[in-house]
Amino acid sequence: MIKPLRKRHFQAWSLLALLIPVGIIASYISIRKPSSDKLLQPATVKELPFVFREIEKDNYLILIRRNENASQYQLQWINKTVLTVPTATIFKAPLHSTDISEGELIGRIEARGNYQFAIDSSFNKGDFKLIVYDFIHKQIIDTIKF
Amino acid sequence: MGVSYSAVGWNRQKKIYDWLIFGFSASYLVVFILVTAATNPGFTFETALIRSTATLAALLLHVILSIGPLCRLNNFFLPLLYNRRHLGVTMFLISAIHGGFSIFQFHGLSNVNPFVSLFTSNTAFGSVSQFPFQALGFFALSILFLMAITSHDFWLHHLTPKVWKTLHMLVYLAYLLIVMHVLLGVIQFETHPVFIILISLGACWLITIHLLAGWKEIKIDNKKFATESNELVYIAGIQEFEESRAKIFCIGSERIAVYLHQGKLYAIHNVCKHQGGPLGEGKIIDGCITCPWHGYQYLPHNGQSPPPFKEKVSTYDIQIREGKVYINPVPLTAVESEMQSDIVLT
Repeated sequence: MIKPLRKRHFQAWSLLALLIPVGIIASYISIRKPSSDKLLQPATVKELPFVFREIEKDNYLILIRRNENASQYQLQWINKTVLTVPTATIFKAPLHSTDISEGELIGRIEARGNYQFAIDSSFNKGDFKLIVYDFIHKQIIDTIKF
Repeated sequence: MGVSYSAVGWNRQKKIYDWLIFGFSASYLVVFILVTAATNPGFTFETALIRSTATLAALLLHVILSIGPLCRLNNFFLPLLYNRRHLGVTMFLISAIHGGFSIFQFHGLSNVNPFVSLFTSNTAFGSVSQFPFQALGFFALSILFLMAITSHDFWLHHLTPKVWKTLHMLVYLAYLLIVMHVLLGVIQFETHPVFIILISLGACWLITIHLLAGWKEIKIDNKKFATESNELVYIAGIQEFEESRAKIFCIGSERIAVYLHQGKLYAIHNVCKHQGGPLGEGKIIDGCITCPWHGYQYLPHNGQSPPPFKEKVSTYDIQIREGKVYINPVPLTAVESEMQSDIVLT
């Protein structure tokens, strides 16, 4: 090699000796942290103390709760296993209904997790069912009657 | 060394070298894919091929980039240099398989041309963690392609060694692009630290040996020689030379190799006309100074390649006074070099 070429090689590697460590450090600190498997709702949502309706299925446990003076009601949905769909919605519908448009949206659940939804006193009566609806594929996944 | 061009100037050494490259590459790919299949039953062949060719190409690139500095640090590694271009072309072909299958797998179903999709599907250029790393791989592959197609001696002669060498120094840019391709791609998606450790160790190794070799060369270049009367420069004592070996002296900006052969001293320019190999690190074979890199040969007394070859390196006037060897760093003209009488040690 001629002297200028030797010099250029040395300069090129001196530059790489600066750039590559910067690249390694920058890329390492930029690695995205995996999202943890936790409840999407605010931590301030507390379970109400009294359970007055409960149903357990293979994949989930559903509890309807209220407070001491029955002024607040709550639907608690606990996924025991991972849902087969990434996300679904829960509707309250009349017992005889098979049309989701007749239902009332309660909330949305993900494949994993423990969810609490505020509901009204109409859940005191037993004339309703819950429909788990896959809104992506537009199909009913499950129907729960108490 | 040849007077005409053929696709590959095969000889026994090149065949052995190439079979070793082929055998290693094929074994690596097969073992990688089998281990992937055994440990991950849900694997797809395309993904295994993309990953196996990626890791093999990265490994070969590290080997290729190690050969040059290792040879400058120790002559033991010179056999690796002999057919390095075939190793480079092999590495490009493996990289091309990786790139081709990646574009097919990740952009083949796009509603635009896959190459358009490569540059338009992700435009998060302002983000480190989501940077469009595939584009970096594409540019690196483009450089490797350019190097592979100009790797033949035909292009070396037509582009001139200076332009050719400059062009092929783009491999350092390609290496940087590949490192960033890995850092902004695999490292962002695979959480196991082994990937960032391996790429860091590889970079650390290459930077270290290149800088060490560079410093060694700078040390040789910076050695000062005192000029005496009649432009003569004292270089060494007679007793410092070994039979059939050379000593290299950097005088001014040029390196000159001084060979002792059959009791006579010869001074020639240290840079081979082929790829700039260090002639002073070679040896004399069949009466010719033979470049350690690719075997180009020159007659010691006039620097001329033996007929029918036409390459010629400069020769220098050398004189001995009272056991001291002096050299005139101004190259001899063709006529002077033919008239130069051999300097016999007495």
